Amino acid sequence: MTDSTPMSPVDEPADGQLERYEVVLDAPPAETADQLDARTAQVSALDLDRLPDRQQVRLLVDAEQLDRLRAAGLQVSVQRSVAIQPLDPTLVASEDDVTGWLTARLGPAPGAADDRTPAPTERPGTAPTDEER
Amino acid sequence: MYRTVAQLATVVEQLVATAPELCTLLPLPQSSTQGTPVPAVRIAAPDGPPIDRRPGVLLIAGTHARELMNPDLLVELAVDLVAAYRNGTDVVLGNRTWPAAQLRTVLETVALYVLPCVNPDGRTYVMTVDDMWRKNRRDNPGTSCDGVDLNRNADILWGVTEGQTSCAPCTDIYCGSGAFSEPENKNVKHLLDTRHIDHFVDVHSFSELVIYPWGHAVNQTTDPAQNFRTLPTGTCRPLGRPGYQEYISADDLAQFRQVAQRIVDEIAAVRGRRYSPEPGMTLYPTTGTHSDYAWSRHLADPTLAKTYGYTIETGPSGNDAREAFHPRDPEPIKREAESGLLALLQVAAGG
Repeated sequence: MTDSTPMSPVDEPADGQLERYEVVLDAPPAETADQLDARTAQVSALDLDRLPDRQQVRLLVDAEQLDRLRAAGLQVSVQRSVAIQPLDPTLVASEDDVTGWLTARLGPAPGAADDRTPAPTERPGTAPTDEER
Repeated sequence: MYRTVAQLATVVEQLVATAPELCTLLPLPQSSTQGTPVPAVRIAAPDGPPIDRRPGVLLIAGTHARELMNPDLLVELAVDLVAAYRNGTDVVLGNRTWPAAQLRTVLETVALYVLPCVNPDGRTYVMTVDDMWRKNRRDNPGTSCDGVDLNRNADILWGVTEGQTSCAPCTDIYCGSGAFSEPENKNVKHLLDTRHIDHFVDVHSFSELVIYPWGHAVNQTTDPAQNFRTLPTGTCRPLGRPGYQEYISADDLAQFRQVAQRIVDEIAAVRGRRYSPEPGMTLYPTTGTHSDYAWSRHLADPTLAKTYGYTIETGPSGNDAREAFHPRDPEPIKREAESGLLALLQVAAGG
């Protein structure tokens, strides 16, 4: 399945959204555990994408979801807008990155022009089963 | 740097080609929703007990598309193990060095199964369209919304919308049309069904946690009758039982805590980051997760052996979700998580 075709956009966000918002729910002063439970239950009832943060109730929401949070009476602080965009291309590994790293760690790929290693010997009883090939 | 789906596959293919005495390609029965083949690899040294009688460890990652570090982490772990075995080189992870001799023993004792990227379509979508995409790329009929949350789709209280689980297709926590409706998840189930797996880890991001059961309710060790098998599933409602607590035996809970602490300690040995070992419920309630499913199997079917299921949440919360899901420099996080996974392998090997 190796595919060296350069990546190109394969799709567009279906709903035409341009951005989301990273938000936290403001905790009232001296909030009790029961009050916190009630607040998080409100969030759960809204079916929103809660980020895995143990310190606070933090979410990634779109504009309509942000409106729903506020309409539910929750105090929300918008931390930042998060544009809907592909991963920064400078963070995607190049083919040379991958090949160079593999060669440094494992040696040249078997069959490669610079492969000087003997072919690995299959030991008796260790061959993969047909199912596993 | 993050590898594309094709590059991850290249690493797996080259591992198998370079070290066929150690590595076996395991083509999985299901292609992804959009037709991408999903490879897994078994790594086990030929010396030692027969492979099918060894303790089995299954590591998976990339369930949530935007959590980009973890598929890279798993293929790098696999390469490090193979290089250590073949070349006798220690694996140096920050301040923690894993001696080659110890890793050789692990590979001669354990059968390691690695499924680096459960959700390849989602990963490609993150790289090409939306870098905060979470789900797979299922076209949900009758809606304009795509995707199923693959970590809400397993057969453990599937469709019970406790906490962060939903039956609404347009949410990011949509559990799908049925338990294991998604081909990506059928592959995970296939490995659990067909291999002897003692320890299972699903690697996610973020918040520096080592999570063990349960995710849907607080643990209790005194009332075996209060257990998930008595609860209705597929209700699209929360549990609706105030005060409900899920049973786990005291011995099993102690085992989870002990192993989680070992993982935490070996993560900290790399550069001092202290992950927190805790039940999944502590973060927020969930149902249908891979790791709870792995653990629940022997309870739902007593003919099955125990599979200890963990979720590791790699990396700090920070204050910017984009940076937390795919940091510009993921290397330190991957290395500490690798040390935690090596610790689990050593536990599986009896060390």
